[in-house]
Formats: sequence, C-alpha cells, structure tokens
Amino acid sequence: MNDVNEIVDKLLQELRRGTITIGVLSQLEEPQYGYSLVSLLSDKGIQVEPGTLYPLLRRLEKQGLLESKWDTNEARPRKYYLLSEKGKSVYELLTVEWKKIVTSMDVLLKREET
Amino acid sequence: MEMIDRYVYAVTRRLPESQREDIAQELRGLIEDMLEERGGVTKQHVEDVLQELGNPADLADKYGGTKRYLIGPNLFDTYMQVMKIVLIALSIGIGVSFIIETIINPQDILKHFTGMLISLFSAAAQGFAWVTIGFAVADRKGETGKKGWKISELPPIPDHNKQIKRGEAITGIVFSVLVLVFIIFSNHLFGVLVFDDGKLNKVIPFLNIENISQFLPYVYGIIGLGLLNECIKLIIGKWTVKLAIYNLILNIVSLGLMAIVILNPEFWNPTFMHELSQLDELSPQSEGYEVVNKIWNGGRGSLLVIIALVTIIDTISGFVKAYKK
Repeated sequence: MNDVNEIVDKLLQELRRGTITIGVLSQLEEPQYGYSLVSLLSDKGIQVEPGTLYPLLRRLEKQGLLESKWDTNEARPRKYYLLSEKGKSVYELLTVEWKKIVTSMDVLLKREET
Repeated sequence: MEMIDRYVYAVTRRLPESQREDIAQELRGLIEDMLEERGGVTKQHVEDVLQELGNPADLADKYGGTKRYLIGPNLFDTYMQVMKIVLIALSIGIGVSFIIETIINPQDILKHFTGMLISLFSAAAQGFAWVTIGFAVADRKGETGKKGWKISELPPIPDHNKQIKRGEAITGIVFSVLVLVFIIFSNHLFGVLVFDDGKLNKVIPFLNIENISQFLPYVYGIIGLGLLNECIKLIIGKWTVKLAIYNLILNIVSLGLMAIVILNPEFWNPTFMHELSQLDELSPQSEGYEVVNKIWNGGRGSLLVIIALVTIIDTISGFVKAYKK
C-alpha cells in the first residue's frame, strides 16, 4: 500500500503543479503580496508552499503576466503583485481551456464509473 | 536573527546578481510573515519556518538560478569522447618520445623518465583545460536560438556519402595532438635520425630549437583550429553547407598561420646542413649533399604548396559532399 500512496503523491504533485498557475492568476485581480496569497489560496482549499509560490510569482512577472510594486508604507516592505493586461487575457483564455478539460475529464471519469 | 540572514544568503548567492537584492528582501518579508503567523520570533519558530522553506539550493533552483553545470548533457558524450582521444594521443606522443630518447641515451633513462612524467602531467593538464574550455564555450554558444524544431531539421538517416566517419575525425584529432607533442615537447627529436652501427646515435633536428618558443603561439593556434575543426565535424556528424563553410574559414586561417611559420627562416634549424655535412655519407663535396641542400633550401616553399593543395582539396571535397544529393 505504501507504494501506491507514494505513486499517488507524485502524480498529485504533478497535477497540482499545472493548476497552481491558473489558481494564482485567478486571485490577482486585486493586488496581493506573496504570503497573503498563500493564505488566500489555502482558505479556498488550494495548498501551495511559499517556496513554490514565490518563485512562481516572479516567473509570471518576468513573462509579463503580472505587475509588481513594493509597498514600503507598512511596517515591513512588501512586494505586491497584480494581473497585467496581458495576464488578464491569458487568464481568460486559460479559464476557457480549463473548463473544457473539466468537461472532458468528467465524461471520461463517468464512463469509467458505469 | 542571524539564522535568517544566513538562509537568505544561501539562497541568493546562487542567483544572478541583478535579482539578488529584490529576492532577498521578499524572502525576508516572507519569513517574517511566517514567523508572525506562528506567534513571534523564537529560535524554535525560526527553525521551523526555515525547515519548511526547505533546502536553499532547491529554492534557488525554483527561482531559476544560474546554470550549475559547465558542459550540459547535449555535449557531454562528445566531450568525454574527445577528451579521451586527446589524452590518449598526448600519452602516446610523449611515450614515443621517451622511447626514442632512451634508445639514444640509455644511461640517462631515469632523467628521461622524470622528464616524461613532467611532460605528461603538464600536457594532460593543458589538454584537459583546452578541451573543457572549448566545450564550455560551445555549450553556451549553442544555447541561443534553440527554440522549437522543424520537420526539415530532423537529421536525415545517415547517408554514407555525407556522413563523417568517426574514425576520420578521430584520426585528425590524434594527428593534431601528436604534431603538437612533437613540436612542443620533443622538438629535439623531430629530425633526421642518425644511426651508428645500427644503433640510434643522434638526431639532427629540423627545427630551430632555440627559437621555437617565439612560434609557439602560432603552433597552438594552428593545432587549436585543427582540433576545433575536428570537434565541429564530430558534433555535426555529417557534411552540410554550414559545416563546409566552417571548414573553409578554419582552413584559410590555419593555412595563413602555417605560411607565417613555415616561410620564416628562424623556424628552421640554421645549422641543419652544417650538421648533416659532418656525417661521412654526406660530405660537402658529395652528390647527395647537393641534392639534400637543394631540397632543404627550396623545401619550405614546396612544403607550403603541398599543404595548401591538401587544404584546398579538403575544403572543396567538403562542399562537394555537402551539395551531393
């Protein structure tokens, strides 16, 4: 059984890795800093480690999907991220594709069940 | 807290300079947020938080830190192959010159042996360094513009006429290295072998041993170009127009360097004919002496012509093979 769990863990990890990007984009219509995003996602049932999220945010910024700004007014300076115009269109397109995947997967899984 | 600084440093030192400060500040903020959530800065909390963030090297990796290898998997096989050939060829060359020296001067065998070890060590170090540098540069150069692929770029199934035989390229490398060894480490043995009673007595060198060092940059250049050429052939593996053009350029440059060296009288042993005339068989009055003298004096030009011819044939055959259907 241990072996099965291990394999499932690995596959789940791969599965999550692909979905995190969409999840992150979905939450950034309002500016968020890294750790607030971690809590935001975890409140909604998506667990992301900060060690994964922070580099991801930076990558998305580099790709031009996010804009960032340091806020130095608070007690400690925080870097806030926000969807850019490009990020918005990417997110919209991804959402459409995601829904297609969900529909197709539902069909596949239902057929397996019956 | 010191532990946090050390952690942040361990991550950012693996990142490109330009991003370090920004990422460091963000990481610090993250760690403080995580500490706050746990209820403040205590030693235990700091340890927990850093443990949760994980190995700094992995984190830096996720940030897409700089490449942590010198020669990537694409080139590694060829690299190892070329390295082996070069080192083996160096050893053979130095070994052969040790044997010749020992035959000439058997009583000095110990001296020759230490000499061989020293040459072997310094030659191996140089060979290793140059091959590695060459491939490291190739690895970085080759990276650019490597996006996607086209069906037309699929390598064709090797065509016997176009395929570069591994053996050929390897022979080229071995030959280049042997020439290098002989010119640099054993130039005193590169010449006419004089036998006395069936025993090797001495060598009259072709080259001007005292002046050889001023030509070494050229020699290194020529051999380096030769090696580069063979390595490119090994990597590309078949004749293409691009390869034929590389071959043309490298051949022209190395021919130019060779002309500079060969046509310079300083490169050759100035007392060669005088030393030869000391031999019984070739006294200055003999017919043989005249012939040899002619060859020696006119030989440099002819040698260059021969090398040029071979180079031209090599260059043209490259293009012919590349365009052949």
